[in-house]
Amino acid sequence: MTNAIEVYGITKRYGQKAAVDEVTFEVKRGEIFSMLGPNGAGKTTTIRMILDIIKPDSGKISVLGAPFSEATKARLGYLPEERGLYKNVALVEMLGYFGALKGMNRRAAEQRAAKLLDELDLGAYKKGKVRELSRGMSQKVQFAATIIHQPELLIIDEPFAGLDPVNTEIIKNMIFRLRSEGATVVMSIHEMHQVEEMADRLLMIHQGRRVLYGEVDEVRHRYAENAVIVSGQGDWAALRGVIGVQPDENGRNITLRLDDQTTPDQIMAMLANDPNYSIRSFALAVPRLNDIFIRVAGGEAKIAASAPNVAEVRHEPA
Amino acid sequence: MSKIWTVFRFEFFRQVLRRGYGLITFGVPIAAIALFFLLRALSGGNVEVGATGGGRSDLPPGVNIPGAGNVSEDSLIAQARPMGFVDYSGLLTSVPTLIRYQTPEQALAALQKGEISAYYVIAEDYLQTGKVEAFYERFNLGSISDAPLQQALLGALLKRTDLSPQLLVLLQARTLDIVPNAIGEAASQATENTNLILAYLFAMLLLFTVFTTSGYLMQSLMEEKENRAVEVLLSSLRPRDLLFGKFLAMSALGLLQMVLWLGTAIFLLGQAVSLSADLIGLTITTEQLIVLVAYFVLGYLFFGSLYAIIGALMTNAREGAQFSAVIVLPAMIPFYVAVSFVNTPNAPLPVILSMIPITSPLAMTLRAAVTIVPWGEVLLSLALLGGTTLGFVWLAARLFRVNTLLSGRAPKLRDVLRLVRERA
Repeated sequence: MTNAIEVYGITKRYGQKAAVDEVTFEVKRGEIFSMLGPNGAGKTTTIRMILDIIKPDSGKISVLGAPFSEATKARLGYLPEERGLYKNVALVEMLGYFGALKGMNRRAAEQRAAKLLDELDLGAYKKGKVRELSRGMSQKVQFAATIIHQPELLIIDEPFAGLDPVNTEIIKNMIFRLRSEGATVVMSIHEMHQVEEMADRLLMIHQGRRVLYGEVDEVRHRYAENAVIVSGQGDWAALRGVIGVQPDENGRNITLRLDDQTTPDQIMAMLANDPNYSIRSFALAVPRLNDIFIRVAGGEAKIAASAPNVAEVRHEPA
Repeated sequence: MSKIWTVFRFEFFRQVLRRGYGLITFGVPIAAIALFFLLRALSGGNVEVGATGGGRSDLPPGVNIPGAGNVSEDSLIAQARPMGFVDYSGLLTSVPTLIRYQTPEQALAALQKGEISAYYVIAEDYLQTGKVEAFYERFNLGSISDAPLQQALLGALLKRTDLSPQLLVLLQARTLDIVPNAIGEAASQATENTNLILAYLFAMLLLFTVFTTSGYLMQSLMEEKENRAVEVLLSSLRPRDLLFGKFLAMSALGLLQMVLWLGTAIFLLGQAVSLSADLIGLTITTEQLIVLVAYFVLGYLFFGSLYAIIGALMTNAREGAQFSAVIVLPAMIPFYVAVSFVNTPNAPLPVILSMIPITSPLAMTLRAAVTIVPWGEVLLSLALLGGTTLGFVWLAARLFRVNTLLSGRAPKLRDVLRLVRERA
């Protein structure tokens, strides 16, 4: 089965500035793929090139198994970062219009729109207009417009921006449901905990270049220090191989940094066999994505793009 | 094609239901008609002449005569330039406000001296034919009214019992069958004047319709840029399909507006004066009609494409409105030099202006009204207009695609050239 998206060496310049510079990645079918990066990193430009809204100066893009064509548009749904809705048109009518532009029968599109609005707790506003809705409600309507035609490929930019936890959960569940129905989801997102919870793989772009790419857990482990996090009683500094002891803010968990010759397994064995230590929990110190993002976006790791355990796209798209 | 239709349908109904459009398109004609009838009612428009008609006892009660209510007003004008009549039928002895002449030659002489503005000849066989001939010097809506003659004739006819079927029909319709006649060169001038007025009206209508509905097109493009709906739309269809769909919708709105206004104007004109179009000397040939329609349609598309370019380049409605002056001012040039079109329609200036796309819709319309324009010139002008329109539509779609998503500011001229060359 071909990948949902294959991007090979795309570059887009505006004047002297490269908005996207030699970026390569692939998105597998049926996965939730997350695109990360600071503001202005080149994520939206990359998405627009995938959608053929703008064209790359060089490189190749394949979407759903072929170069982008008009036929591709009917198979994908796009939620842009900057939301775009008609403020003075009834919701069902507007969603019907978006559905019709995706090739749906107008009546079928309006029926589906009504159903989606019910699922999004907006059933009471079917005849209402966007100007009557709150920001969160508008956001849900925008999401409905994106999925009205049940796309195979969903590209969503900041899907949770402006949503409260309840509505975030509603949208999140809809995304999971779409994925379970076979859709591929590409989301550009800033909420790192959502990436950790939802995404199978990620791509991070910084200053137009790819700086992180791979499975979420793999990337986190790649950035893990040689350290463990423990809670319990004992003289942590006295342990052989421990070169640093750092309690967290409330003092419950302690991070033990290890020297290069000591592994977490050895520390666990020592603690298990020494009666002077009482252990309540023991875990590898894997950094949160948020920390990795800050480190990378801060310029620390150009690095990871060429790291040996990063999965590389080794073939060109057709 | 189906996507263009989808956009067309959505945009048409969205705009037509807008309060502003509805108010202008439907409200203005309704208000004009209401105002017209209100004024007419206030000025005693449909008086029952026999009962209250100011001493016109020669008409039976209950007979209404259209235009009779304007008699006092017309009489004032007639006092300045009265009309005359020659009666061979023997029906009329005298008619208030009309001067009686014994022969057409006497009436013609009075007309040529400027003593009267027109005269009627009622033939000997009037009771059989029902026709009255009218002779006039030049078209002037305000000074020609058949009401006095009409009243007198109908009053006389109602007293008779030997009326022909034609006359009975006219009597039932309470009107006259007047055959217009123009007098020599003056009449020719009158026809030209009439056509020129027609051309002016047509051109004004074209400009007004174009500039209002093209404004809607620009506004619609701006709106989608401002609310960012355009990005969602472009992930569903090609920019040019979006542009064409909008363009066609706005064109339909413009035509709807024009048809309603024109229909209202014709209706009110028909109500306001008892003159038929041919009486006022209006003669439109098939060729002229083709030219008018061709320039209206192409002119509409041309100006629409220019507005679309502005809509593609500007980022908000305020900027768009400022830049629209760039279109309006050159388009009005033929009006500024209208004298040249009347006096020397085939001189270099009118010919050149009728070739330049931005001025040709007005310029050629004006020329065609006062002279016979060679078909070669018309076709060349239309080709230039059509070709430029196609180029501008392409350019608008191109700029729309390239510029819409990339910047939050209006580009400078050098940026436009770069955008045209740039890969989208």
